[in-house]
Amino acid sequence: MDDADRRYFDATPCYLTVQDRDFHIIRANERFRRDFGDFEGRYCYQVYKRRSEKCEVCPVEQAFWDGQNHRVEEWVTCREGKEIAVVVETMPIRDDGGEITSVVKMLTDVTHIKRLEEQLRQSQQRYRLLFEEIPCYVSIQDPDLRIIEMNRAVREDFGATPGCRCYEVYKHRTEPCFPCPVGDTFEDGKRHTREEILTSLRGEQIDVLVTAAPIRNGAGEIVGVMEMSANITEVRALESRLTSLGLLIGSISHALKGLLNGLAGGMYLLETGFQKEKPDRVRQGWEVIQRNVGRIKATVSDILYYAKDREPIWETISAAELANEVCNLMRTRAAEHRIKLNCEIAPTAGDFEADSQAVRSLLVNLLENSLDACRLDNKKSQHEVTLRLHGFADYVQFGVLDNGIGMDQETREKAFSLFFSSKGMEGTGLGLFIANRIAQAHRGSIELESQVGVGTQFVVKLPRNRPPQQKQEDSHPSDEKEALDG
Amino acid sequence: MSKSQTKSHNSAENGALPLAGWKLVVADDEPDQLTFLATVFEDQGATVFRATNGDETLELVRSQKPDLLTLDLAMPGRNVGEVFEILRKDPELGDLKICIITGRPELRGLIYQSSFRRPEGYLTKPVTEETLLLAVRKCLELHH
Repeated sequence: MDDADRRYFDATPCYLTVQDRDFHIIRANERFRRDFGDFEGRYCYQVYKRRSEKCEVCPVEQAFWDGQNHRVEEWVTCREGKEIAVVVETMPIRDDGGEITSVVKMLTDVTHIKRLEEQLRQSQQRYRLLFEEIPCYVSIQDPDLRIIEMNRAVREDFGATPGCRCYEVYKHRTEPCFPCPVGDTFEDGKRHTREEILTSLRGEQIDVLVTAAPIRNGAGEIVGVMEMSANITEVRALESRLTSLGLLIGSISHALKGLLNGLAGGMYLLETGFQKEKPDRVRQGWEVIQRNVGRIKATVSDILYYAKDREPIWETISAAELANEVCNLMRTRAAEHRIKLNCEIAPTAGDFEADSQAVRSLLVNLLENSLDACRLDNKKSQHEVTLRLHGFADYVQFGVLDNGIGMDQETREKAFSLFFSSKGMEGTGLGLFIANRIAQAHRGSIELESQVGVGTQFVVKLPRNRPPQQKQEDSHPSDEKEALDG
Repeated sequence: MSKSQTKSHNSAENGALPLAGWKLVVADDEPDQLTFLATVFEDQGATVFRATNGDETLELVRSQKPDLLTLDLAMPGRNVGEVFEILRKDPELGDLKICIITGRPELRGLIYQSSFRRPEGYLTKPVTEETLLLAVRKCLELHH
């Protein structure tokens, strides 16, 4: 090697060595000497790898063996102990007779590329983790609305697999939804947001806020749409609760106004009755006051029941005793309005498991509804309300019948809805709603038949035995019951 | 001199009750409320006819030709505000004075924004004897 060759050899911007068949380094360039130190008499594996024996895979050996160039990637350790990632290339050198006398080994430092690759790998892993674990449903759809990627939540809650269509797994539909935010994004390349209700594998209804965003390739073409759905079921439930609360406050205020009006009217009659010495008017005023105070009490009881959302307090009770008790309770009210109250109670109806306070409220609510229906009806000369009781093998059946004003179709359909009242100022819209809720809490039912001008019949069926899962639970009377009883 | 002024002067001069000689129809589906309103007016000397639903109201107004109708807007048998609308459309009842007495203040817009002649009075429940009489006197143009 002449001086010029030596200069080129030394200036090469990589580690350059020449090795013999015994793996001795017989020549090395400037950069190698700087980073790996002395090499004379040492083996390459000692210098590069700090090993006592030859490497298992050796590109120098391979070059000697087959006369070809070889390339591997590996890590070496420089004399300061720093690890360097290198691409190793070996080239055999032949003498004039074609015999391989040595092998040139060139190591290119690719540490920074390796580090970048590692960072990229970690970053991809992090993004994958984020994609998998983000507390939303995330999927990527192709233009045929096939899901090509999905996160864990989508797999677990909807059982989605690659290739299935979004509308099949999210909504159990056989055709695309309309409107479809994903389709809209494919069409105009913009983000689209909608509120939807999805149905999970287990059949749960999940309220979600869906956002569809385009995924573009390097050329800017939309290759997929990412659909991200945030579960807002709890928010919706809270919202609905708040709306109900707002409605409740409005409805109560409205009812209270009516009751105050009634009280004011009663007081006027009472006061002027005394002044004018009209006993009939005094009695009439007193009745109006009593009626409205009774209504305030009933309204407060309904509000308490609604607000508490309580579970039944189970006990075994005699259906006939309960029915008689309710009849006696309502007798005075019926008489006040000159309405005949019939109690047709089968004494052999037997016992059933129920929350006696709740069932009493249920029957009182239905009977009050019937009395009001009679009171508001001026088409008939005689009004009657009947409470019936029959016992059947598996359930007890209460019937509440009246010949009052009756309900039209709309009123019938909405009768058990919260805050629906057909009674103007008087109703809170809580009574029948709560009656129905009590029946449901007992796994029972209320059926309603009614005709305008003829009357209304409620049929309440309550099972004799409480549901099995509730048998195991203790049913100690609670403070709540005492509060309601009071 | 209008009819109302004549009655007003006559009542005052004779020392009679303030609403003596006046004929009122009181319409409300709530019996307690109806009793209260009717009693207050009767105590002031008015002749009162009571209606508990929409059809009865129409019937009484047409047969009795009252000086004033106090009207609850939500009445059984008719849509909200329907009775008011029918009465205002009736050419034979052009002079009828109407005082709305409702538990639903939100209906005010419905009535006042309609193309019909406005009611002479509009009260929101609960009403007291004083506010009731003040509104009725105003409707009937009775002055002291």
